[in-house]
Amino acid sequence: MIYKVSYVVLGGLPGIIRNQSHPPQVGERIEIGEHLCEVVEVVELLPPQDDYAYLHATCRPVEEKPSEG
Amino acid sequence: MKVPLETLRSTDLFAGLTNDEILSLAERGEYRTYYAGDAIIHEGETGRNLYIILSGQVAVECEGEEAPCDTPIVYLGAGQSFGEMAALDAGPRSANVRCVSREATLLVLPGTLLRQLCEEGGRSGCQLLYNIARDLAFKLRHRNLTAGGGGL
Repeated sequence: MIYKVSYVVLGGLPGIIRNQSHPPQVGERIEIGEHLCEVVEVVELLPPQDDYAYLHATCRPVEEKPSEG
Repeated sequence: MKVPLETLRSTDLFAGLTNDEILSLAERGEYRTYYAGDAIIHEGETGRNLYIILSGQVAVECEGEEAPCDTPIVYLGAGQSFGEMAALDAGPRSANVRCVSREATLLVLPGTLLRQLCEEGGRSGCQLLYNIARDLAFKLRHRNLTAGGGGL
C-alpha cells in the first residue's frame, strides 16, 4: 500500500504532501522544510483506491531543524 | 541514472499503469538531480515540462502580496508531481519551485507527451490524465485544509 499523506501544520506553517510506505503515527516526528513537526492526529481523507490510501495528518511544530554544516 | 521500478511505481502519476507502461513513459523523460537551494521552476516563465519527485523535498512558493516569495505555500515530497498546470494549459508557470532537501531526484517529462499519448489513443494517456486530475484535486483539498487550520 502507498500512503499519500497531506500533512497540515498547526499555526499556519506550510505543510507537505508526500507518498510513503507506512501510515503516519501520532507522536511521529517528520521534517517539513525547515521545521521538525510532531503528528497529533491522523484521519482518512478519502476512501482508498487501488494501491493507494489517502490520509490527512495534523502536526504541530516542535523545533527548527538544526542547520547543516 | 538507474531508478528502481518500485520507486517509479510509488509515484502518483504512474498509478494504475503496468510496469511496461511505466518504463516506456520513464524512458521518454530525463532524470535530474537538484541540490538545496536550486531553483527548479520560476514563476511567470514559460515551460511545459512535468516534474515527478522521486526523492527529496521541494518548496512551492508564490510571489504575491499575501504570500511573499520566501514563504512556501506547500512542500512536496517523494511521489508528488508539479508543473502540471503549464503542461496542460501552456500558460506561464504559476509558482516558484526550489529544492529544500540536501538533494532531490526528479523525473522530468515533456509536457507535450500528454497530448501525444492521448492522440495515440492508448490506455496510458487516459490514465495519466486521470492521475493528474486526481492529484490536482488532492492538492486542492490540502490547500482547503491548510486554510481551515488543519481540521477536517
